[in-house]
Amino acid sequence: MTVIVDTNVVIAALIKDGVVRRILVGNPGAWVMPDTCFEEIWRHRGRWNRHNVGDNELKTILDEFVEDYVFLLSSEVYNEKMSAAEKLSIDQDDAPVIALALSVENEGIWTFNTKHFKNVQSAGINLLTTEEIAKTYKPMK
Amino acid sequence: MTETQVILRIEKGILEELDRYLPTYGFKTRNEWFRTKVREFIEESKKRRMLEKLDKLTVDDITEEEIAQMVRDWRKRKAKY
Repeated sequence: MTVIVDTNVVIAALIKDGVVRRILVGNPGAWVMPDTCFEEIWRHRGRWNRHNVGDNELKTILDEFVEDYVFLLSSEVYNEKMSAAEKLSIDQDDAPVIALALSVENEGIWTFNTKHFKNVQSAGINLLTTEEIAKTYKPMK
Repeated sequence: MTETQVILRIEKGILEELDRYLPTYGFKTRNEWFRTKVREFIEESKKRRMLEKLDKLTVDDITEEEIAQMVRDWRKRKAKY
Protein backbone atom coordinates (compact mmCIF):
# COMPACT_ATOMS: atom_id res chain seq x y z
CA MET A 1 0.00 0.00 0.00
CA THR A 2 1.04 3.59 -0.51
CA VAL A 3 1.09 6.62 1.74
CA ILE A 4 0.86 10.13 0.29
CA VAL A 5 3.40 12.41 1.97
CA ASP A 6 2.91 16.12 2.41
CA THR A 7 5.68 18.66 1.75
CA ASN A 8 6.33 19.24 5.44
CA VAL A 9 7.02 15.53 6.04
CA VAL A 10 9.64 15.43 3.30
CA ILE A 11 11.17 18.68 4.54
CA ALA A 12 11.45 17.13 8.00
CA ALA A 13 13.19 14.08 6.54
CA LEU A 14 15.66 16.30 4.72
CA ILE A 15 16.58 18.87 7.34
CA LYS A 16 16.45 16.79 10.48
CA ASP A 17 17.96 13.45 11.46
CA GLY A 18 14.95 12.11 13.25
CA VAL A 19 12.24 9.49 13.18
CA VAL A 20 10.62 10.86 9.99
CA ARG A 21 13.83 10.46 7.97
CA ARG A 22 14.38 7.00 9.39
CA ILE A 23 10.83 5.88 8.61
CA LEU A 24 11.00 7.12 4.99
CA VAL A 25 14.41 5.58 4.31
CA GLY A 26 13.61 2.42 6.22
CA ASN A 27 10.58 1.66 4.05
CA PRO A 28 11.55 2.52 0.47
CA GLY A 29 8.81 2.71 -2.11
CA ALA A 30 5.93 3.04 0.35
CA TRP A 31 5.70 6.80 -0.21
CA VAL A 32 4.50 9.03 -3.01
CA MET A 33 4.15 12.78 -3.38
CA PRO A 34 3.09 15.11 -6.16
CA ASP A 35 5.85 16.70 -8.23
CA THR A 36 4.72 20.14 -7.03
CA CYS A 37 5.92 19.32 -3.49
CA PHE A 38 9.35 18.58 -4.83
CA GLU A 39 9.34 21.83 -6.81
CA GLU A 40 8.39 23.70 -3.65
CA ILE A 41 11.31 22.11 -1.78
CA TRP A 42 13.70 22.92 -4.62
CA ARG A 43 12.58 26.57 -4.64
CA HIS A 44 13.70 26.78 -1.01
CA ARG A 45 17.08 25.11 -1.47
CA GLY A 46 18.78 28.28 -0.15
CA ARG A 47 18.48 26.76 3.31
CA TRP A 48 21.02 24.11 2.27
CA ASN A 49 23.06 26.41 0.06
CA ARG A 50 23.67 28.55 3.15
CA HIS A 51 25.07 25.44 4.86
CA ASN A 52 27.58 24.85 2.04
CA VAL A 53 25.52 22.28 0.14
CA GLY A 54 25.62 23.43 -3.46
CA ASP A 55 22.87 22.89 -6.03
CA ASN A 56 24.67 20.01 -7.76
CA GLU A 57 25.28 18.04 -4.60
CA LEU A 58 21.77 18.73 -3.36
CA LYS A 59 20.25 17.63 -6.65
CA THR A 60 22.25 14.39 -6.62
CA ILE A 61 21.02 13.54 -3.13
CA LEU A 62 17.41 14.52 -3.85
CA ASP A 63 17.40 12.59 -7.13
CA GLU A 64 18.45 9.43 -5.31
CA PHE A 65 15.92 10.11 -2.57
CA VAL A 66 13.01 10.39 -5.01
CA GLU A 67 14.22 7.55 -7.18
CA ASP A 68 14.42 4.93 -4.46
CA TYR A 69 12.46 6.18 -1.46
CA VAL A 70 9.71 8.75 -2.12
CA PHE A 71 8.26 8.47 -5.61
CA LEU A 72 7.24 11.63 -7.41
CA LEU A 73 4.05 11.49 -9.41
CA SER A 74 3.40 14.02 -12.13
CA SER A 75 0.27 16.11 -12.59
CA GLU A 76 -0.85 13.75 -15.36
CA VAL A 77 -1.72 11.29 -12.60
CA TYR A 78 -3.81 13.65 -10.47
CA ASN A 79 -4.90 16.55 -12.74
CA GLU A 80 -8.35 15.12 -13.27
CA LYS A 81 -9.04 15.37 -9.53
CA MET A 82 -7.66 18.88 -9.04
CA SER A 83 -10.98 20.70 -9.04
CA ALA A 84 -12.45 18.27 -6.49
CA ALA A 85 -9.25 18.65 -4.43
CA GLU A 86 -9.40 22.44 -4.50
CA LYS A 87 -12.87 22.29 -2.97
CA LEU A 88 -11.47 20.20 -0.10
CA SER A 89 -8.35 22.35 0.38
CA ILE A 90 -8.03 25.05 3.00
CA ASP A 91 -4.67 26.07 1.53
CA GLN A 92 -4.73 25.79 -2.28
CA ASP A 93 -1.06 24.74 -2.25
CA ASP A 94 -2.22 21.50 -0.64
CA ALA A 95 -4.57 20.71 -3.53
CA PRO A 96 -2.06 18.53 -5.49
CA VAL A 97 -1.53 16.33 -2.40
CA ILE A 98 -5.29 15.89 -2.00
CA ALA A 99 -5.78 15.35 -5.75
CA LEU A 100 -3.14 12.63 -5.65
CA ALA A 101 -4.88 11.00 -2.70
CA LEU A 102 -8.11 11.02 -4.74
CA SER A 103 -6.34 9.50 -7.75
CA VAL A 104 -4.32 6.56 -6.46
CA GLU A 105 -5.03 3.79 -3.98
CA ASN A 106 -3.51 4.80 -0.66
CA GLU A 107 -3.58 4.43 3.10
CA GLY A 108 -3.90 8.16 3.63
CA ILE A 109 -2.04 11.45 3.75
CA TRP A 110 0.86 11.80 6.18
CA THR A 111 1.08 15.42 7.26
CA PHE A 112 2.04 17.53 10.27
CA ASN A 113 -0.69 19.96 9.35
CA THR A 114 -3.88 18.00 9.96
CA LYS A 115 -5.93 21.21 10.41
CA HIS A 116 -5.35 22.18 6.78
CA PHE A 117 -6.42 18.73 5.60
CA LYS A 118 -9.41 18.18 7.87
CA ASN A 119 -11.94 18.34 4.97
CA VAL A 120 -10.41 15.36 3.16
CA GLN A 121 -11.85 12.90 5.64
CA SER A 122 -15.31 13.61 4.20
CA ALA A 123 -13.94 12.22 0.91
CA GLY A 124 -12.85 9.00 2.61
CA ILE A 125 -9.15 9.91 2.81
CA ASN A 126 -7.33 9.06 6.04
CA LEU A 127 -5.12 11.59 7.75
CA LEU A 128 -2.06 10.03 9.31
CA THR A 129 0.20 11.41 12.02
CA THR A 130 3.81 10.38 12.55
CA GLU A 131 2.78 8.29 15.56
CA GLU A 132 0.24 6.38 13.45
CA ILE A 133 2.70 5.86 10.62
CA ALA A 134 5.35 4.58 13.04
CA LYS A 135 3.02 1.76 14.15
CA THR A 136 3.09 0.23 10.67
CA TYR A 137 6.37 1.49 9.23
CA LYS A 138 9.34 0.92 11.46
CA PRO A 139 12.12 3.52 11.50
CA MET A 140 15.66 2.44 10.66
CA LYS A 141 17.88 2.10 13.71
CA MET B 1 21.80 -13.72 -15.08
CA THR B 2 25.46 -14.60 -14.76
CA GLU B 3 26.35 -16.44 -11.61
CA THR B 4 29.67 -16.65 -9.83
CA GLN B 5 30.78 -19.37 -7.49
CA VAL B 6 31.84 -18.30 -4.00
CA ILE B 7 34.01 -20.42 -1.73
CA LEU B 8 33.84 -19.55 1.95
CA ARG B 9 35.69 -21.03 4.90
CA ILE B 10 33.97 -21.55 8.23
CA GLU B 11 34.37 -23.81 11.27
CA LYS B 12 32.76 -27.23 10.73
CA GLY B 13 30.65 -26.96 13.91
CA ILE B 14 29.16 -23.63 12.89
CA LEU B 15 28.32 -24.97 9.45
CA GLU B 16 26.53 -27.96 11.02
CA GLU B 17 24.61 -25.60 13.27
CA LEU B 18 23.68 -23.44 10.27
CA ASP B 19 22.38 -26.52 8.45
CA ARG B 20 20.24 -27.43 11.47
CA TYR B 21 18.65 -23.98 11.61
CA LEU B 22 18.08 -23.39 7.89
CA PRO B 23 14.68 -25.18 7.74
CA THR B 24 13.48 -23.23 10.79
CA TYR B 25 13.58 -20.10 8.63
CA GLY B 26 12.22 -21.82 5.53
CA PHE B 27 15.51 -22.17 3.67
CA LYS B 28 16.02 -25.40 1.76
CA THR B 29 19.70 -24.93 1.00
CA ARG B 30 22.72 -22.97 2.21
CA ASN B 31 22.82 -21.34 -1.19
CA GLU B 32 19.23 -20.08 -0.84
CA TRP B 33 20.05 -18.67 2.60
CA PHE B 34 23.25 -17.04 1.36
CA ARG B 35 21.53 -15.34 -1.59
CA THR B 36 18.77 -13.98 0.66
CA LYS B 37 21.25 -12.68 3.24
CA VAL B 38 23.40 -11.00 0.59
CA ARG B 39 20.35 -9.26 -0.91
CA GLU B 40 19.19 -8.14 2.54
CA PHE B 41 22.67 -6.83 3.31
CA ILE B 42 22.80 -4.86 0.08
CA GLU B 43 19.31 -3.38 0.67
CA GLU B 44 20.26 -2.39 4.20
CA SER B 45 23.57 -0.92 3.04
CA LYS B 46 21.79 1.21 0.42
CA LYS B 47 19.55 2.61 3.14
CA ARG B 48 22.54 3.34 5.38
CA ARG B 49 24.30 5.08 2.52
CA MET B 50 21.18 7.18 1.90
CA LEU B 51 21.07 8.16 5.58
CA GLU B 52 24.74 9.20 5.37
CA LYS B 53 23.99 11.36 2.35
CA LEU B 54 20.96 12.90 4.04
CA ASP B 55 23.20 13.75 7.01
CA LYS B 56 24.76 16.41 4.81
CA LEU B 57 21.34 18.07 4.56
CA THR B 58 20.73 18.12 8.32
CA VAL B 59 20.60 21.78 9.22
CA ASP B 60 18.00 22.12 11.93
CA ASP B 61 16.64 20.36 14.93
CA ILE B 62 13.11 21.69 14.84
CA THR B 63 9.72 20.30 15.74
CA GLU B 64 7.00 19.08 13.38
CA GLU B 65 4.90 22.14 14.22
CA GLU B 66 7.82 24.46 13.42
CA ILE B 67 8.31 22.73 10.07
CA ALA B 68 4.61 23.05 9.24
CA GLN B 69 4.84 26.75 10.15
CA MET B 70 7.92 27.15 7.97
CA VAL B 71 6.05 25.75 4.96
CA ARG B 72 3.06 28.02 5.71
CA ASP B 73 5.47 31.00 5.78
CA TRP B 74 6.99 30.01 2.42
CA ARG B 75 3.52 29.96 0.94
CA LYS B 76 2.52 33.30 2.47
CA ARG B 77 5.63 34.90 0.99
CA LYS B 78 4.91 33.29 -2.40
CA ALA B 79 1.35 34.64 -2.31
CA LYS B 80 2.66 38.20 -1.82
CA TYR B 81 4.65 38.13 -5.07
